[in-house]
Amino acid sequence: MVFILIAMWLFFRWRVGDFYFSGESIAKLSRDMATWTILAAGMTLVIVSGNIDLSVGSLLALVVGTGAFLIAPEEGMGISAGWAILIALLLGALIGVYQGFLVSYFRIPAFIVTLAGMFIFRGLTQKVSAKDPRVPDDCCVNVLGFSYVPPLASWILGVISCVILASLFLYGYKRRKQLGLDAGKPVFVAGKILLPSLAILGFVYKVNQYRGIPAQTLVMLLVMILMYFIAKHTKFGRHVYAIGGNPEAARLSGINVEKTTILVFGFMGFLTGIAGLVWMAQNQGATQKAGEWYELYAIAACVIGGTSLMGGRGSVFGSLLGALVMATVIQGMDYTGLQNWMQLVVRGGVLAIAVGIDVATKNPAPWMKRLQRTLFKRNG
Amino acid sequence: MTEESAQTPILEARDIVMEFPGVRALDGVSFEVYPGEIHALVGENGAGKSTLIKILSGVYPSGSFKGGILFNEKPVRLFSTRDSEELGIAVIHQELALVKHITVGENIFLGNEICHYGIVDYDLMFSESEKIIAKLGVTLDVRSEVVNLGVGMQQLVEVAKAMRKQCRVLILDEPTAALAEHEVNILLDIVKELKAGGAAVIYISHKIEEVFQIADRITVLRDGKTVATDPAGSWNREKVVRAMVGRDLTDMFPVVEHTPGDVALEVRNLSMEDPEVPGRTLLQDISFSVHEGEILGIAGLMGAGRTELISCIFGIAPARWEGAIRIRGKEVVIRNPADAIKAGMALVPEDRKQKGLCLILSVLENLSMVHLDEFCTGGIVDAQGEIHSCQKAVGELGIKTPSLDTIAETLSGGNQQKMALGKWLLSAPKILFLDEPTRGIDVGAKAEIHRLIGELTAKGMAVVMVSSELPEILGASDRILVIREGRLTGEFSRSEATQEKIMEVAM
Ligand SMILES: Nc1ncnc2c1ncn2[C@@H]1O[C@H](COP(=O)(O)OP(=O)(O)OP(=O)(O)O)[C@@H](O)[C@H]1O
Ligand SMILES: [Mg+2]
Repeated sequence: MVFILIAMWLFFRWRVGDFYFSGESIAKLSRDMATWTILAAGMTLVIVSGNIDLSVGSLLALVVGTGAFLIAPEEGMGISAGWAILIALLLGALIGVYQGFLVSYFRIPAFIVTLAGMFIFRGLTQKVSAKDPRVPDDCCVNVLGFSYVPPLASWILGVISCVILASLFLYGYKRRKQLGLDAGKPVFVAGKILLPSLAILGFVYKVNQYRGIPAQTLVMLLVMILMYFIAKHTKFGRHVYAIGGNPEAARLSGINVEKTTILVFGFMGFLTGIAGLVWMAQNQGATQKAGEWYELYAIAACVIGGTSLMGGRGSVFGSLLGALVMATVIQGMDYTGLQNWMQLVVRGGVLAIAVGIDVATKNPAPWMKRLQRTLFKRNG
Repeated sequence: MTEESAQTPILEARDIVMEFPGVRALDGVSFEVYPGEIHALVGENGAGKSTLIKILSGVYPSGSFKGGILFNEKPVRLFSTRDSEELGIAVIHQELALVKHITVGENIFLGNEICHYGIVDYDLMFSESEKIIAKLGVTLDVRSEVVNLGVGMQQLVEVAKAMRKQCRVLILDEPTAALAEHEVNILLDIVKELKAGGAAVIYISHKIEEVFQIADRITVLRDGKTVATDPAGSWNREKVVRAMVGRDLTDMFPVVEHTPGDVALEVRNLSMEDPEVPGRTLLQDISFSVHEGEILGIAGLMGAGRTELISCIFGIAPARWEGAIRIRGKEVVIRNPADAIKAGMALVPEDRKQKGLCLILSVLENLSMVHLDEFCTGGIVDAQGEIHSCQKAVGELGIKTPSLDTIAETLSGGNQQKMALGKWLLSAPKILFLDEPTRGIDVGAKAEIHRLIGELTAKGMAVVMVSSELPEILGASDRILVIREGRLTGEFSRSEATQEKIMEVAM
């Protein structure tokens, strides 16, 4: 996956020119992907649990619409931003919980529940966002959309996260050694520390050439880290993998499948709320078309990142990589100035190819194995 | 055998080496089978038996292993199961491979549907299926969905599927693990008949008596290598076990006199209606109790209601039921498995693939699934403690796995079963229900598991064990209940129980 990403970057660098690797361009990439990457983090849990959520794009629009409507002094009610934020987040979480409830207790397939939600929330959005409510310039929400972490602070953040990363990996390595587990070769561990550290520092270096780490990127990264932790290191996360792997066995093991499912959707809804606030800040208001296609971006990011639609397999980190692939394609094509219809075609193509390559390396079909062997023999 | 040995082998494997990440499953195995011969393949869990037959049947395509396959002395390369089917090799795999939500008939003809110009002729297909099923000597509605059948019946459907075509080589991987006594006999008769018809049979089983009953030759595998191949006459039970395990195995069921303590679990007047046939009772008025430090065996035929009985107690009843459950004298209400676990119960279900394990998750995740709480503070998993106790469980149960991160699915069948048991033993439960606990487990491990259960019982655990293997019930239980058609028909203490007495009240 990383290779695909680098190949694409080099390709666009070649097409676009120096600007492509500039701080501004990279900051923009990370800003544009923030909203639906946050969705992808929640979507990873949803898909791992053996479900799907098609409603997040519409729900995001509804959250944005409601939030903006509450804040907007002219088109809406003009209440304080603090309350509006709280209500918007709560709305997202509650709707998530409600959808999870329908899925688990009423046994309506998630596909259907959320497909219905997709229509319903879009419809409601058209009502609340009918007048395109705008958030005033001095509203505190805008921090999310337009501010940057100053360069020095960015460096500090970057270095701190590298140190934390390194110590976590080293600690894990040492512990696995102690317990007599397969800890991997030291080279790999070093690589696992160095590569991401390089990526982090490189990113900070680049965006500092512009204005620092964008606020929404920071939010996105924090969400990803949080969700990564939840998925891998909490009881709840482990239960999610279990019910996605085999719901029957999970239930017999005393796991409350219904509750876990509801929580998964609740998280998804809450994250949709956060993504909605970011969107609202970025656009200083709401539109009826907010978040269109986002559910598909989020799902695509997960799948490109190796999450299995059958449930039970996947990781938040993979989804982040998948989101980067998607974002790179979207942004790159904006730069090349392809016509809209072409952009859609290429987006779809990249999705199919990226997942195809992933599958071919992990679980090749028999004919591929045969092909690989014959090619291999000829070379060697 | 004399005229046959003059013949040439119909199927032969030469110097097969097969490696998976972290394990060498087969290490230079050669194996051959002649027409009209039953060749038994035995060995410990993880010895490589299933891997060998998967190679012989094209599941692992040519090229993924080293070595050669000869069919009628001609080298062949099998790339898929289709290739082997065309040669007339039929396989019944260890793990059931039926499609759950289509009918028995459709399963039997799966991939070979009877068609006219692409349109399936269901009538013909079902009547053909009925003929095949009738030949097996069982009654079974070929139009019912496979999910509705118990594991034993499903296994017979697999047999029917393999018998559909004229086969020249039939391979059976632990076909009787899930069958009841009389079903086993049906199957063995069918196999003998096929042999008389000139087919070659490769037969894998952990039931050594059964192997001696039908095998002409026996090959023992250990750790991916052939220990020996000899005519069945020159083997005996002890020799086989020694070759398998690498040491003498004196005592399968260590007879420990348990001293039962207080009543751990009491069931009163439990009745349940059949969820599919309203008005028919599946369980009727069952009352019994288990004491601390006692192993209670429940015997009966397949479908007698044994699994349903423990399902009710564990909170996963398929239908409404009446009756009372008391734990240490206190009446409890158990609505779901979580309640049951809180009350100190544990259940190792009979179908590990469907209910026991999450096969796509790792060994570690499976083992710690039930007792994750113990490694959690504030919902955050302490990986160290978790890994530590899972490692201990792997060691104690002798689960053969390259590492804790290995995906459960890639372990051999028997080792999966040990895992399904192990996940409950991480924290000692008070009352342990075992539904066919040693299905598919080799003799060595079986002795090991019974030793473990015995030990836990001695420490005060109450065990309720359902098993279709009478020797196991007789050997391990302190007390035996017999159930027939949902009714309690007998109770024996260890000293009075015999095979005949039990069968008499069970049939
Ligand atoms: N797909 C796989 N990937 C990795 N390892 C595997 C895979 N299949 C089997 N193995 C390993 O190969 C070894 C042999 O397994 P195999 O299933 O052949 O054993 P077996 O003799 O059939 O045992 P059992 O009696 O328990 O069924 C085991 O150690 C198992 O873990
Ligand atoms: Mg096997």
